[in-house]
Amino acid sequence: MVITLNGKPLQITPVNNLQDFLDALETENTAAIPPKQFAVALNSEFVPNSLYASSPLSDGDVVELLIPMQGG
Amino acid sequence: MWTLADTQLNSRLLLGSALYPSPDIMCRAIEASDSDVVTVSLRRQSFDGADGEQFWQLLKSLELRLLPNTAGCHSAKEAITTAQMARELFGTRWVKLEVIGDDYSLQPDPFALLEASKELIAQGFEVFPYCTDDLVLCEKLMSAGCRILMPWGAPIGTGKGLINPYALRNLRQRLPEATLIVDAGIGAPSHASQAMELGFDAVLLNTAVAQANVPVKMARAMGLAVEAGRLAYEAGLMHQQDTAKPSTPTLGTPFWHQNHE
Repeated sequence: MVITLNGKPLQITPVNNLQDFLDALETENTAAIPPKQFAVALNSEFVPNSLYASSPLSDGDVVELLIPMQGG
Repeated sequence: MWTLADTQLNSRLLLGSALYPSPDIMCRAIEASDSDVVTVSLRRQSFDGADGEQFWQLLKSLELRLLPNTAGCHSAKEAITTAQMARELFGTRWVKLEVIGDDYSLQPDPFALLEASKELIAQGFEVFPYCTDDLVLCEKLMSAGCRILMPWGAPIGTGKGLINPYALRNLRQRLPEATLIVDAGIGAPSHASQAMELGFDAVLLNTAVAQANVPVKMARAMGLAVEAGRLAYEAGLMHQQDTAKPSTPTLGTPFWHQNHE
């Protein structure tokens, strides 16, 4: 399946949900290792970390993975 | 001490964490400023290995209140989603709400700002809206539940100071219940003092410190300026007048002065 992660299409072995996707990022050598501190949006909707495992993922979904940065 | 969103703070200077020459200088500048609140942001994880972990650890070591922003958002929807992500990421319900309406001036979109404010307040956020000095917009933001308003002094990063002090003074007079913070446009300590002399509750700035030749010194200067301006406001400024009036008492003037009569 293809998931767009932070604007880049990513070909991965099919997964069922967001948690499986994040786990797969580490195991599939995608060069997109999840950071320790992050927040996720799926198709432009925020997903609390408590709902990763119950958020289904489909081919073509768009995932945004945001991390802390400096700001004014 | 003063109260910001039910939180007791010492400093009335809120400082940004961006644009410093190095993380070490950022930390020393924040310390020199005596600020209790630092603004932060979110960005996409890149694929180059940067994961924000170092910055996150630095933030934690500073033990300050964090104020995440929604910089770069151009719609209410984007800002709401970003605020939700920031709440989880930084562990705070405070959000500096930015919804940009014009890319050239970075002027906020007042309509989207109001829409996003209503939704985020309904979701339990403490919204710090980055707004213009438009009185009607500020009144509507307060009606929506904003206790804090952050009108610009000038466009972000320009350092032009308070372009419209009349409008800012008017906001202070018309909205005595609001916590008013000048956000953006401050370029010099005198600008920060001026905002505080107008009766604003605090000042938020970033570039003027981060891009100074010596950021740590400028941070200290800004902290002192904010404190001086607040003291002046509390003391009460004298009324201006058009004619000169001697400050030295004329009683007992030495004899040679009387030769002029």
